[in-house]
Amino acid sequence: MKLSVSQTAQLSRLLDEALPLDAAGRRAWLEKQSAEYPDLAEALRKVLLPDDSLAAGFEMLAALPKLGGAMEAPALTTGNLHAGKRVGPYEMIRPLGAGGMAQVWLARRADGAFRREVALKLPALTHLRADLEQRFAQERDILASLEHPHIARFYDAGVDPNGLSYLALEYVHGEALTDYCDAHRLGTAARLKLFLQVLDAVQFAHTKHVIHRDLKPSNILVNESGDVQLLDFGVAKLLEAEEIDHTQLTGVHGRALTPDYASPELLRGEPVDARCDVYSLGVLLYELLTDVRPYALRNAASIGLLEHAIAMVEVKKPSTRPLADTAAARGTTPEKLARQLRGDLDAIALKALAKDPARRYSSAAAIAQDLRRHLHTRPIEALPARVTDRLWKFLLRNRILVGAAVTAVVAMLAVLGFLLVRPSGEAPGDLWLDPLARARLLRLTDFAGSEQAAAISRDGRFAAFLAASGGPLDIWVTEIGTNRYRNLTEGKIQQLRNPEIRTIGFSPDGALVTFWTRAGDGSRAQDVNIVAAPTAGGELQPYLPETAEFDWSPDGKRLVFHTTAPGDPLFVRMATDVTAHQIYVAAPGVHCHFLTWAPDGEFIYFVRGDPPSADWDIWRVRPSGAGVERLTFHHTRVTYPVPLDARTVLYLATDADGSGPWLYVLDVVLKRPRRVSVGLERYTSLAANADRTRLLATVADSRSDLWRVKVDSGGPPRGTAEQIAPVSQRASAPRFGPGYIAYVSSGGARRGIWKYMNGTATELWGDASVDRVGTPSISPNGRRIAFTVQRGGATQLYAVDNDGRNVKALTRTLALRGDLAWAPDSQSLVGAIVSDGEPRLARVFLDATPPQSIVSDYSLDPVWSPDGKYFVYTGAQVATIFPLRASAPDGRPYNMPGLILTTGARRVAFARNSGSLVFLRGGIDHKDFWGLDPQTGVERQLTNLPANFAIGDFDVSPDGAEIVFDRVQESSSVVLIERGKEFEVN
Amino acid sequence: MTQLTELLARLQSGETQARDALFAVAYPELHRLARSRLRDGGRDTLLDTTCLVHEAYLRFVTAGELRAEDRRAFFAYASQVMRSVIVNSVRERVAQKRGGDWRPLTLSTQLTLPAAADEQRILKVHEALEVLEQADPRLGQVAQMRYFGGYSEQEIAETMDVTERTVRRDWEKARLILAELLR
Repeated sequence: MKLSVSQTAQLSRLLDEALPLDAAGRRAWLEKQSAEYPDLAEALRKVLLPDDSLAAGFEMLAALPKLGGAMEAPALTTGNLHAGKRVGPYEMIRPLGAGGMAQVWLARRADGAFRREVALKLPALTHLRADLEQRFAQERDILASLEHPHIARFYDAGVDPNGLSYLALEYVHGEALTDYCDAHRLGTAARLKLFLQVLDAVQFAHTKHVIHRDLKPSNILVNESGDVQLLDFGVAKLLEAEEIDHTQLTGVHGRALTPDYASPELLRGEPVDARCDVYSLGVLLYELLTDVRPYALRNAASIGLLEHAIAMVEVKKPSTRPLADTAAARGTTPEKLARQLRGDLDAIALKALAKDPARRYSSAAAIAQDLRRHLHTRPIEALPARVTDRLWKFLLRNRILVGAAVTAVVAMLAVLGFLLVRPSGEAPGDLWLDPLARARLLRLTDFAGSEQAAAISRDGRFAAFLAASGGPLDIWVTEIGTNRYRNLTEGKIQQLRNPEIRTIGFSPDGALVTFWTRAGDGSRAQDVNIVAAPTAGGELQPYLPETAEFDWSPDGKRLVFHTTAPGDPLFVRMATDVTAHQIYVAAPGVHCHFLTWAPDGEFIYFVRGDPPSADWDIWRVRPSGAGVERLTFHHTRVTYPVPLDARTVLYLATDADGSGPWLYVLDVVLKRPRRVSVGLERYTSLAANADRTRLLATVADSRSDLWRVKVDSGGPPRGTAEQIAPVSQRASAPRFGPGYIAYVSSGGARRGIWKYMNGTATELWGDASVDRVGTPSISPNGRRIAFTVQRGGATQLYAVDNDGRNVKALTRTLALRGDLAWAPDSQSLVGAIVSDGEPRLARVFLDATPPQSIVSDYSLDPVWSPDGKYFVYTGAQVATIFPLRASAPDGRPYNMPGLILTTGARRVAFARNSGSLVFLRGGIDHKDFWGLDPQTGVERQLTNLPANFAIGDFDVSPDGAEIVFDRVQESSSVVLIERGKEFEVN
Repeated sequence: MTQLTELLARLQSGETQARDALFAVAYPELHRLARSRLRDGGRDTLLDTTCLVHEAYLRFVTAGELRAEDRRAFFAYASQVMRSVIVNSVRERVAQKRGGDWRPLTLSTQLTLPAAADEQRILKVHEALEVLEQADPRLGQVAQMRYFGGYSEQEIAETMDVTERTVRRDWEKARLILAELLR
């Protein structure tokens, strides 16, 4: 029925009147309205008094390919099921419940064969899978054999003649485990005893090779006798969309699998084993102990965020979570409860929740064993490994390992490396567990630009890489350890950079540095070639024509290479032959890059994928062309595979959220990847020498430094800025005090407030366990510095003397946001406190006096005028701009010339001498400082800085002669990783 | 603030030109995500659009392109983009088939959607939805978020800042009207 837009609108309005009426009312209403709206009469009648003519429309809507998690399933709206309906051999009695994925009804055998009632689960599948019956038949026997006192029985599964699939399970009458424990106010020990029942049941199923995959409190009931009953064992697998490796969490049954309890590997779509149940048990244990789940997200409706958290965020120890309510419910105090949880229970929960399955308990029985040991106060398995784990992470995080001097710390690390507790009898090789154990890291280069595409000669003596040190991009080579570098291409080659392939290499004897280059757009075969330069310097020479990438076998006798023909065909030829055999080609549009021989010459590893969508993964093939195998399922940017031995490959990969690239290691037998790098450094290339004792990587990082620029109040804008040299790596938020500059330092392990005075930098306050330190605010007499400290989402106000003494912290946490400003009387500060999601300026006191509100609207980042009569602040953001407002100390608006600030340039500061207001203006990467005269409204440009100064925060010196600001720059370096002779590969 | 946040703000304040710019930014990302989800899937691989929207949202936030406060606006808008992604893919595929050169769709730019009859259905629903949107924008938004965004009633309620009951009522009405339009 074709209705126009206006007719449809009319229809909609009329329906508002008519829908609330019952059938009789509707008929009466229709009689009246049909006359007034003749063209809509038929439509109205069909909609309000449904007959079969709308069925076609509904069917079309319902039979759409399932696009989202919330679509209806055909033949399964609640209207279709009713008491007495026959489904297979069962007869429905009454509904028990419904979830997103299935409805559950109480049912009995229609033929009276058994009097027992069952819970009949009817999954909402939109497509009838051809092999569903077959799958059910296969799994039915296995699942039916799961007889255990704590597992709800699985009786039957099938597809009835109408196409309805059903699962018949034991009907268990009970409460969800967590609810039961709460209702009975069980203490920790009693909860653990119930949990042990759960572990028993799960272990039993695992020995029968049945993984649950969807363990959660609603699947674990406690019956009237106080015994645990696990539901739905094996059901998740039965209803899987596809049996392939990357099972989507969002398969046939929408988002049926609760992400809250799902293990990281399940979320990533990787192959899972019993340890994914171990993870879910970990979440359950955590929840039983603390009443909260491991990931504290305010709005768990955002499943994507939860998945991200599960995969990336470190879990906090149960004993460190807020326990006030929990303790009350258990009839104890928060301190006692924390003490109970600290140590053993913390360790057990965290070990079960390890993101890396290899680090988890290998079985439910292992958890049970440790729990029993704990209950008998015996030492548990979970504790030793964690200590060294943290230490390793701490050292790496501090970048103590990245630097010229490495010695004593590394020696200690080497000793501790032996103490790393390895799970016994684990399948992955030792190398996969710790490929960088006992490695020394040395930063080789100190270039200001960014280095990339590192390569190392087979003997490990020479390193080559791409760098643009103030000039064009060139290939540089160095003999490792000499600190001397030679430019091999000297600006002669235009196109050297291609992040999607390995561009630089060495000839097997190390005499030549080979590199990829391209003429034009590379559309013709002859445009892409490998050229070589002598390592010792000299004339460039052709090396391999019409080739994009290549690699010599370890024995130097064979060569693998690919061209740029569609599908990037791979060829192998003997060194002595001229003819090459094609061993593999991908579909047109698919690329194969980063060809690398395995050290034993048995395989050629490569990265296969689709450049435009950055969807790559690692594959391998034998030199004969046989045995093509896909090894990873990242579906992101994957680069630089470096096989370490027959079963371990190092490589770089970005994460699903776009972060990285990080360093990963892969066990090729198990096809299991694991992230190796722990810090925030991004790896941009990776190479190894022949015996794999030396790895070369380029690592990118960003740094933040303080700079100064002189300002001449009368003269023209200045264009030169110079760097101030404080010691720490990330210096930001500078503020002038009398004779010094205070700033925030967040490099290294500690974050804190530092002081730069007379050419030296000293720490005034610092702490390692802090998430964020706010901008320092200096009191009018210059003696005291106030700042905010954020830990675990809570903000505290701190103050310290300008010599680092007299640290005081307000014990009460305040929801402070943005900068603080001391009031002229030095007794209080003005700062924004967030309530109802909006920041509003208030007066904050350093004693326990509660804050006093000053501005009732959205207000942020106050700055006092030099004469103390008013302060300015920014109002709410509208599109990209912020209005600057001014207020008297009591909150009354103060009249000031209007100023509009843009994002990225919200900060303003007063120049004390002239009273002018300094702010930033300009494009994203090219801003300059301007001054505004508050009296006249006249604006003047103060600086003329070059582009690419990413200026963040700044302050004006008291005499107005210079501005100090923080600037972020990207930096990267070439890093050598010495793995030691123990790892030589023969 | 980034381009995305700015565009969303402008769109919310009524500036309709921002829609095109926003589309240009969000479309490639969602399309790419949709494609990678359907890759390697057989006939029965299904596309959970809600998860895609969540994932795209997460990427934008992590990359600093969106603030957490933009979530509602983004989600409201993303279902529309998803719809375009799906409808465009279907149209491409239909056109390609008519062109006679039908190749198996592997790692190409198209989404791998199930059976051929479904393609026509999707296009018809899309057209009916267009009429509904113009006739009653709120109903159209709810219907779009249900079908092409795959959001639950709770999520739609949260995004549109109305009660779940309102969403249910709107949804019922939208269903009836759509069924009528599709008759």
